[in-house]
Amino acid sequence: MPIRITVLFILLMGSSFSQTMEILSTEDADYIKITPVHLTDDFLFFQSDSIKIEEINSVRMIKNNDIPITIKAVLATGYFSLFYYMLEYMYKEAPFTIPQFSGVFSVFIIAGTGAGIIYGKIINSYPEGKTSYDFSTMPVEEKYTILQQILTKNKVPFHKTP
Amino acid sequence: MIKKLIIYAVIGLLTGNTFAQQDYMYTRPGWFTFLKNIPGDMRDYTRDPLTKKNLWGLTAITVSTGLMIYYDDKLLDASNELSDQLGWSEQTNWRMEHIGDGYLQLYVASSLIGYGLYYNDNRALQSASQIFESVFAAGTIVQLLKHITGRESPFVATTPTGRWRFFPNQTDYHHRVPEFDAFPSGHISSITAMVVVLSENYPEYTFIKPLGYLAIGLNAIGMMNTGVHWMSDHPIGIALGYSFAKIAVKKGRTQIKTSIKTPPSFSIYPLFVSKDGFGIHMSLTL
Repeated sequence: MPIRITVLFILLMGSSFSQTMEILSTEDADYIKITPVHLTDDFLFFQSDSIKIEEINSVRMIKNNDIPITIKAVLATGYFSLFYYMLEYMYKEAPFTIPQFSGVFSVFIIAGTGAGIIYGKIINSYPEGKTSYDFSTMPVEEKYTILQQILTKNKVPFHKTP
Repeated sequence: MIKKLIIYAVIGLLTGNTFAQQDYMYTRPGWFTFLKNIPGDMRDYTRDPLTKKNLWGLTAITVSTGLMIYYDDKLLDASNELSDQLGWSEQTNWRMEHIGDGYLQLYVASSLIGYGLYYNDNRALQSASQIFESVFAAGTIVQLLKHITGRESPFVATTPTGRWRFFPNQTDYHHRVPEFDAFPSGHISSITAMVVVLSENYPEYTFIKPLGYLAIGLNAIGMMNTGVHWMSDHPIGIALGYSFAKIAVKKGRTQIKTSIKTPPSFSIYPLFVSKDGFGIHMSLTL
């Protein structure tokens, strides 16, 4: 019992969220989602393209809010319960022939894949938090500094803005 | 009092909210990238441990394995006693043993694939690929070592710490596997590989490391209590899982580089937050 409580406890403590970065250039009307790759004094390179720093009008950080602890607990318990249910059921039916084994693997793969999609649907159904940085009137040096801070880990207080 | 302090320390450690900006770029892996990478992983693995920086690690594994082999029967008794004291049933030990038998790895990796494909998330897809890659690569070396060392599992042991039959007859091996396949542990290498891949790729999920290490520990004890492994089978298994996971992770992502501009700067500018929020940001970079 203490082990179960410990496992559940540790599971619940982890607080996390995913985030994406979007930029608005002087030439575009809409923000575009980017995955930054490299930053130089003049350019921000991202996957498949690059932009001049002076042409960036705004940067927006979007994070998905963390899901509530109770939901997280239910999801984690359900996820691992399903795994052990399948595992124990499988061992009751064992031994298997090789074709039967491929069926067993398929069940685990389908169940795991489905769990991943459902998890994604649940976390994505929670509201997003957006933090915008207006670059339109900012000198290039400052834009560079802020971009650098955004791209390096956890060094500036505005990362913690809700 | 000390117990309470430890609990508070652990809570503090775990609740530390890491806002890890993604420092790595993840490209979408192919369906068989993990298989293609394995030969290269083997090459890297055989090259890296013999370098000077890994000398301490190598020495620690060798010494700890040697000591554990000497005390294996006593360690096995201690593990069984622990199980009795905590009132673990056979089923509990069985569940702990199966943390590392590959099905959990398949299940978790499939979840990452499902999530990654549905939401176009390359990090999830890469993590799944890296789990397969490291589990298979480590598993290959584990199998090779098992087939060379031929050590008896505890539940069929004919000597207190299990007999070793180096370079056993391979036909005998496949007819009576438990008499030859104890060293090293493949279960522990696969759970270690999965934990390392996930903790490396998802550093913002602060629970992965403590939960993962707990899972590795439970797996080790579970396997001793079900009689499939000795304590000394674990260090090399852990080392293999860890090393191959690190290699797979290194290959599966690219670090985002920023040119470092050093002059100190001070900036102040308005900050707009969603839902009508407004603030001022001040930043001092040294």
